[in-house]
This record gives sequence, structure tokens and C-alpha cells, in this order.
Amino acid sequence: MFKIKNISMIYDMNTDEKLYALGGFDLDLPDKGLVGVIGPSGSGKSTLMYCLSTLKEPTEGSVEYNGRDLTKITSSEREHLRRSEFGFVFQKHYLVPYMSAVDNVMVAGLGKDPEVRKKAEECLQRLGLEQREFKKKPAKLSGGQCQRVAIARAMINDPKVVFADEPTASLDHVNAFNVMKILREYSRDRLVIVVTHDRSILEGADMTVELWDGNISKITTA
Amino acid sequence: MSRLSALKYVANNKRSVGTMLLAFAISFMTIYLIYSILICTVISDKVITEELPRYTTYLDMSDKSLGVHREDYESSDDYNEALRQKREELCTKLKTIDGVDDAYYTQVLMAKYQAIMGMIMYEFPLVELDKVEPYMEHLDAELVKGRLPEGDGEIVVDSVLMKNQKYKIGDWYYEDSYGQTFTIVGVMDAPYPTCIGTPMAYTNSGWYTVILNDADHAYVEELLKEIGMELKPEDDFYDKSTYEEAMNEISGIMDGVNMAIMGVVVIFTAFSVFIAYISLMRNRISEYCLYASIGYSRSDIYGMMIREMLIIIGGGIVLGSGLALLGSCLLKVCAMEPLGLIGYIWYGDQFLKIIAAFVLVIGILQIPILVTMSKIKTIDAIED
Repeated sequence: MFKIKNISMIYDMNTDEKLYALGGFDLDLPDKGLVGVIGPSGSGKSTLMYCLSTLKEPTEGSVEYNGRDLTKITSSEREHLRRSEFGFVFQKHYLVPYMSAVDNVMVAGLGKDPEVRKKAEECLQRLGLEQREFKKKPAKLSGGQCQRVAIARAMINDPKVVFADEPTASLDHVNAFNVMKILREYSRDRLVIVVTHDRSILEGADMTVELWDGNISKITTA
Repeated sequence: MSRLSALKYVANNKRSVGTMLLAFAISFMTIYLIYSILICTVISDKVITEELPRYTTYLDMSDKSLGVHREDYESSDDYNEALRQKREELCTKLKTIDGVDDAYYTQVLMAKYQAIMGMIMYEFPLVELDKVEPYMEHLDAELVKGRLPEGDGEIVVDSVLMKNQKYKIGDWYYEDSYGQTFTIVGVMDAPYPTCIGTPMAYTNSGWYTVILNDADHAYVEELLKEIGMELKPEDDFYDKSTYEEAMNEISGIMDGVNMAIMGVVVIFTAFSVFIAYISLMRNRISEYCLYASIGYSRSDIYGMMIREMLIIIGGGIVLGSGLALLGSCLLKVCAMEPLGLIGYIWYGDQFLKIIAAFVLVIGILQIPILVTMSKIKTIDAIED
């Protein structure tokens, strides 16, 4: 699905001390499965995910997604891709504080209102939220519930790829386990890319890419 | 299709949206009501300034204009007698004009008509007893209460003016340094709020040649031309042109005051909402960043912001219109009608002016919106 060629990302381009977040490497990712990107802070794992998801443009190299070079597409094509084919789970849940759980999911949905609502409620139910919690605003939900709402928002359009950046970082052990279980289930017929520095949550991953100082140090496939 | 609904924010943030909406509504109402007060003065004055010269004009020609020169007379009595004769001649000539019912040189008194803002003063004649009835006939006025003057210093007052000045029959009409003078003896219905009365000794309100003209002969200059005379700069007169000029001046002042008040209120509202908007936008920046990250275009986000603003301002206009009309209604019933003033509830022009001012506010509020738009990044930039 993704073919990455010679990808590099340089921060502080205009200064003498250039910072290589990604050092120029190739990588192929499968069409489905759970892919873990692991490494310590500053290893470039989040940068890699942002480049794959079109949130960032690499300084050099190409990112091919289903045969299309994502570095060469227009901004409206990028927006379309992010809305219809990609789903995002960020480190913080970024829920809109004045919207209910179900509205927070619906905000990313495509289609007519009643259909999107139905889908959003199904998603939330599948992720373990109860009916009475659908109308609650983020402030009335626990951290784990908020993260599950964020995952439901990422999955509402059945995206081909879900990008999850440290999805368990702000969760306790039980909630982290549950969130990973949901993502693992979703990865059965879709691609889920999880960026983390916590190796334990990648148990059962189909592929693990280890990064060190902006370069791949190890790739493990199940 | 964008799912960024403006209604979501409005429905879930009733307090902040309500505050801004109310600010617009109150501004709308304030501007409208101030205008109602100002325009009531103009409309009420207009009745007087339009109707008065249709019936009566006042002329005080100088001795030179009448061809009487003080140096040609040995005594002041002779001089005054010459003047009197010339004035009588003038009246006789004026009466020959088709369109002039009568003309006489007589004392005048001032009628006072109180508006909500300011007061208008204008002349009415004090005539001999036998001229009271003909004058009322000329005015198409009808005695509706009390009686006509039967002696010196008695006045019949129009019913609107009675209401305006809160007079009752038997009240003193006039109080000055000479004491209380003129008694109100009757009430009439006249085409405009005026009076007619009989003189009482010397009242110091001036002497004029009072011309009882019709609507087509309301300009003194034209009347004089018809009898082969002309106005000179030293001549004093009150005719259609004088009142038109006064009306234009009043309208101009009121327009100026209205625009100034509207400007102050709109600037104050725009400034307060501007500050509120900056804080509101700042609090929502991560929300906008989320939308940008999950694939909404900048125009989708801008569209949502604009729709939200239009709902707030539109709601303010709707609520403000309701409050303004209600206030205008109350103003008419509680302040204008008791004073016998003329005012309406609906002023379409002013309504459009306020909407135009609010459109300007929409323009001003583009500043915080565009500043916020420039700060919208995708979430990766926030997390970096």
C-alpha cells in the first residue's frame, strides 16, 4: 500500500546545524495489518507517520500510496485523502469540548446526517461506550472513553489506513490494552499504523519498524 | 460535503453566543429608539413648518422699504403715523391679491411646541375681537371646547398644543417678566398646533403684517412682487421659504446627531464583539487544527466561522428588531402621544441603515477570523 523511497525530513533547513528527523530510507508497508513504529523520543517515528498521512511533506524522497506519489498531490487531493481514506488517532484525543461524544464522531463522517449518526453510534457501541454516554461531552467522559471516541472518529468512514500516534500514552494499563485490542481488530482487513515508544502494546503486531536517529534499525514481521 | 455545522457551536455555547447576540440586539434597539426620538421631533416640526405658511405669513418691512425715512419727520409721532399709514397701504395692496384673504398689522405671540428632544417656537397673531372668527375660518379651525375670546388677552389653543403643553381651559398661557398674561378660553381643532388670541396691552412679542394667504401664495417675495414691491435685506419675514430653511436645518442637525450616535454605538459594539471574538477564536484554535488535520479544507473552516458569525449577528438583528419595534411602540404610546407628537413605529430607512452598519461590523470581525485562519495548522505542528 505504501512504498517509501529515500525519505528524508530535515528540520531547521536554513541553519548550519540541520536536524535530520528522517535520514533517507526505503520502506514498504502492507495493505492490511497492524504495523508498529517504535523508537525512543526523537527517533523520527511521529515524523514518519505524519509524512505517510500527508500532514507533513518530506524534504526529499517519495511516499507512494496505492501508486500515487503523495508528495506530488494537490492540497485538495490531500484533504480528500485525509477525509475519506485515512483515519487519525492523535496522542491527545482532540475532542471538541462543546460537542457530545456522538457529535465528535460525526464531525469526521461523510454522507447524510442520519446515516452518519447511525454509523457513529454503532462505532461507539463497538468500542464499548454505552448509549447513555453518547450524549455526554468530553468533560464528562473518562480519559479512556475520550480516546475511544477519538478512535471511533478515526474509524467512522471505514478508512483504509488508521494512523495512531501514541494512542495509549495518556491511558492506564487496562484502557491501553482495550484501545490496542480495538485497533488490532480493525487491522484484520485494514492497515493500522501505531507509533509508540512502548513495545508492550505492539504484542501481536504484523510488522514492527524500529527507528533510531531517523533511520530504520530493525524491521520485524510476524 | 462539509459537516462543520455552525449550529453546533451556537446550540452548545448559549451563554457566550447569547451575550454577543444580545449585544447586537441592544445596539440595534438603542440606535433605532434614539432615531425614533430624533425623527419624532422632525416629523412633528414638519407638520408645523409645512402647514403654517399654507395659511399665514408674517412680514415686518423696515421703514426704508416702506419709503419712510426718520430724517424727513420732525417728531417721532409724525414718523410713526407715516409708518402706520404705509403699513395700512401695504395691507390694502396685499388684500387685492387673489389668494390673500386678509392682511393686517398686528402683534404676534409665540406658540411653544415641546418635542421629546428640543422645542419649536413659532408665531401666531393676536387680533381684534372681530377678526378672531374670520381667522379661524381661514385656518379651517373649529372651536371644540370653551368659547371664543370675548375680551383682551384671551386665547383659543389648538387641541394638540393643549395636550403638548398640558394646558387646561382657564390656565395662563404665558408667563414672562411682565407677569402672567393671556388666559386660555377655548380649544380648537386646527390643521397644525397653533393659537389665535386677542392682544393685551404691550407684550413685547413683536409686530408683523400678518397675511392670511392660501397655499399657493406662501412666499412673501412673490406676494410683494405682485404688488410692485420687493424685499430688502433688512426686512424680516416668516414664510414658506423661512420654514423650509428651518426644517432643512433641523433635519440636517437630526441627521448629523443620528449618524453620530449610530457611529458611537456601532463602534462600541464592534469593539466589544471584536474583543470577545478574539478570545473565542483563541479558545477554539485546537478545534480548527483538528478539522484541518482530518481533511477539512480551509474554506470549510472559514465557511463555518462565517456562518456562526452570521447566525449571531442575524439573531441579533432579529431580536434587536423585535425589541426596537416593541420599544418604539412603547415610546409612541407613553411619550409621543401624551405630548401630541407625531411618531411612527416602523422606519424602514433607519432599519436599512442599521443593517448596513452591522454589515460593516461583519467586515471588522473578519480581522480576528482571518488572524485565526492564519494560525490554523495541522495537529502535527501543535505536537511538534
